[in-house]
Amino acid sequence: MNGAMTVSEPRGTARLKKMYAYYRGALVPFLIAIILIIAGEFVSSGFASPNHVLILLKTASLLGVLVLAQSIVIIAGGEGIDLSVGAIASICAVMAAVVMQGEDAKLLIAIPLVIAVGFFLGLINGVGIAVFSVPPLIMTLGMSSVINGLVIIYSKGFIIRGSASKLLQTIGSGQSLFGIPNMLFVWLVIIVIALFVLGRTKSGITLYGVGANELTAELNGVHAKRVRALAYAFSGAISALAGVFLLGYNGLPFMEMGSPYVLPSVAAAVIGGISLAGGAGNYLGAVGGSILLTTLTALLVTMRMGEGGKQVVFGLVLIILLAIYGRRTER
Amino acid sequence: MENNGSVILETKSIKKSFGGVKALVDGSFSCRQGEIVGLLGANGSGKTTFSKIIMGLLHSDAGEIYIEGQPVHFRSPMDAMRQGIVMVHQQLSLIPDLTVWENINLGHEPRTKIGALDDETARRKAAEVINRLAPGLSLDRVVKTLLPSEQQLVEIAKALSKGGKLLILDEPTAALEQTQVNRLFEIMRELKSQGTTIIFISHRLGEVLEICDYVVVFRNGANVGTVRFEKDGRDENRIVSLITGKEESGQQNGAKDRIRSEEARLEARHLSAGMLKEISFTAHRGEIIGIGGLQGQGQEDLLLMLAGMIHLEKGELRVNGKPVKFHHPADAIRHGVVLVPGDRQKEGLFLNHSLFMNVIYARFGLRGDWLIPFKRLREEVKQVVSTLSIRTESLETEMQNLSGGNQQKVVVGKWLPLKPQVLLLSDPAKGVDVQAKRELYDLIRDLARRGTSVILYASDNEELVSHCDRIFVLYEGQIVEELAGAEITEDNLVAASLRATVKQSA
Repeated sequence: MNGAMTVSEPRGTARLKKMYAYYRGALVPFLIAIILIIAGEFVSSGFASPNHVLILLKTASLLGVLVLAQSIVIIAGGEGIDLSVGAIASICAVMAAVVMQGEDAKLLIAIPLVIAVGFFLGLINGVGIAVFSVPPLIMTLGMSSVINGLVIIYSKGFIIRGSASKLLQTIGSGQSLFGIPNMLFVWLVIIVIALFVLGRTKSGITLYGVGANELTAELNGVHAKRVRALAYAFSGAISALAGVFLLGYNGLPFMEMGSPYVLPSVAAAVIGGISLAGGAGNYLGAVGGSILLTTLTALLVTMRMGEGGKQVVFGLVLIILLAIYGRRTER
Repeated sequence: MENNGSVILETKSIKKSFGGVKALVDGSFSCRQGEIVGLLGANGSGKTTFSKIIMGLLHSDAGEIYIEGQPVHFRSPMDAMRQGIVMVHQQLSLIPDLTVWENINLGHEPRTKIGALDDETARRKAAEVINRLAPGLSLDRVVKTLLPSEQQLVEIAKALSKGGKLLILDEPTAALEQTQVNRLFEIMRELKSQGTTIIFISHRLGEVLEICDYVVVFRNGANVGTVRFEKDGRDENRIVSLITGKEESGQQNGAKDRIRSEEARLEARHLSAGMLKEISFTAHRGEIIGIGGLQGQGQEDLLLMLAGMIHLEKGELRVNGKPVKFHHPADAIRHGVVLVPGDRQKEGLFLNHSLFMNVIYARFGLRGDWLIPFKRLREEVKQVVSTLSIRTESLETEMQNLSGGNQQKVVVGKWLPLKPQVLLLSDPAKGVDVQAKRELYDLIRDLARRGTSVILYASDNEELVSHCDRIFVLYEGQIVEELAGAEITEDNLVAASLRATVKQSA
């Protein structure tokens, strides 16, 4: 063998080192979140207590699922962004509530149904963007408006009749083992599946390639447009699932219940190292981003900042964080 | 009749190097008032560098420039323009979002007495030159909506509208149709009669013979000779031999040691698409076919078409005797027809991903395991790395951290595990160092020896001559000549490329 080859198979600690290298970028948001939690303890004692941290994580998990939906389309590139994740979550929460009417048995109908609806709505986004070249920002903003409008038409502005079943409420807001919220177990499963699919399967790597360089992907025989359209469809399906969890968390559906999560979902993904240019970053970082943002919000609330002040500080911190990240990732 | 006009431009031994590469060794030149001079030379002979120095776009390392006998030092194109030197560039300098008339007046907008922009005069000036050069072209069209040929005409119009006593036209006709070329020539003759000097840079020998008074030939960065048509006659062969040089060049044709097979791998029958017209040929098992000709005659498009990236409008394609239809590169890859594209960074690689990912991505167009068999692929990629002696720290190294030569090896190497039937190569050695280039071609020859048929486009004629069994010469999207066996020499190839231009414009 010639001297050019110094490639060796990673084993044991080497393998750990490799994983560390791969996910190293994802650690930063976790570290900042921990710093914020400690800072919170100084502001108000009990902020860093195990119980409160678990509550923070439970809140983060709802955002975290929508962040996954967002991350997929950002990774798919082409200025990918999905501003309809909130609206899809809302309409799916409403539909799930109306279908199940509080009965556990109907969960089995409601969940597949709304996931299919979310997939379909996302697919419309994807076809508009990939086939008809509508800019993602416009396409998904328009879709969001259409969906929210449909919910208003359906409810005629009144309270929606329907609610989460007992089991769903237990999943969304209950806790079991050692007082750990059930949602955290659900989120953990989602994280593992997402990291596996995005990092270890043909679908995942194909997605990264399409986002990193569409032309290269095409010339490698990948149907880039198809992949991108599907990315939006899966984003829709995951948003639908997030809607179901939102319903479980709140018990009752209400209009635009997903809307407040839209901008944080983009921010958390980017803070987590998912490049807006597409084709780079991984979901683990975005998980850190979700926890960071949730903690920051909680901290601002604890500081008894008024709504106005809260929004100002939140926005400023976002800009500062992203500016730091921008500098870090530039070469 | 000798031209007795005064000397407009004279240059003495201009030198220019880029890094270690000597682009211009001895740029000496002179021309008189009212002459049309053809400036000829192969790619990389220094003509463009020379004209950029005259225009003040580049600074020479040594040498002198005289305009009407006065020594000058141009710091920028504005300096040159003030002396009445105007150039039409090979790369267009138009602003896509502005209209035709705005572009024509850009940089020298007429002003009213109080200094405001005088749109009326500007439009009138633009109309004068457009009506002669491109009658019927609306002044208010936005440039980005124009055809490439129309944009080229606007670029020329922009230069003409500036007046000037010396006009340099760098490949102005490459994008034009015959009638447009004729109109341009009429204007050039008129300018000449008014005393303007024109330097006409072109690869199209036919046009040069038609319009110029004499030609100056550059080779390897030096002025190697002048052919005056009045005195020496319009001797095409003499010009060609000046361009190529007389020395025997690149005779080590590697094709000799292979046994040719008559088994057809790829058969093209009357293929047409875009600029490509009626392309027919057969590539045999183990054969290396070269695609030659002047730059931009459809060579890259031909490869993209064979790779399924450009759709066929007409014609039939067969792989191993079976008719195939490629709607997408995926179809071509499934039939074993793979492409190494010309721009490795934009078309061939994911620069911010690992070498491993870049190599395994080549198989994602095929149906196959959803779960990536990392262990097996790791062995496969290691194999590729060692076959091509790719210098990398590890399989996880990001592509952007590899050198150009090693990057190119990855673009070629990623196809090896798929055992391609037909390998399409678009200028694979562009910007690659000498050693990597040799290693690449060794691999390509090795693949051919094992039965792959190779279709190779190279901008460097020497590469075609040293490696191909047959060479097709392309001109305006058609195969106009085929060289085989002993006919394959650099001289013949250049002559054939230039001959095509004479035939077409005669």
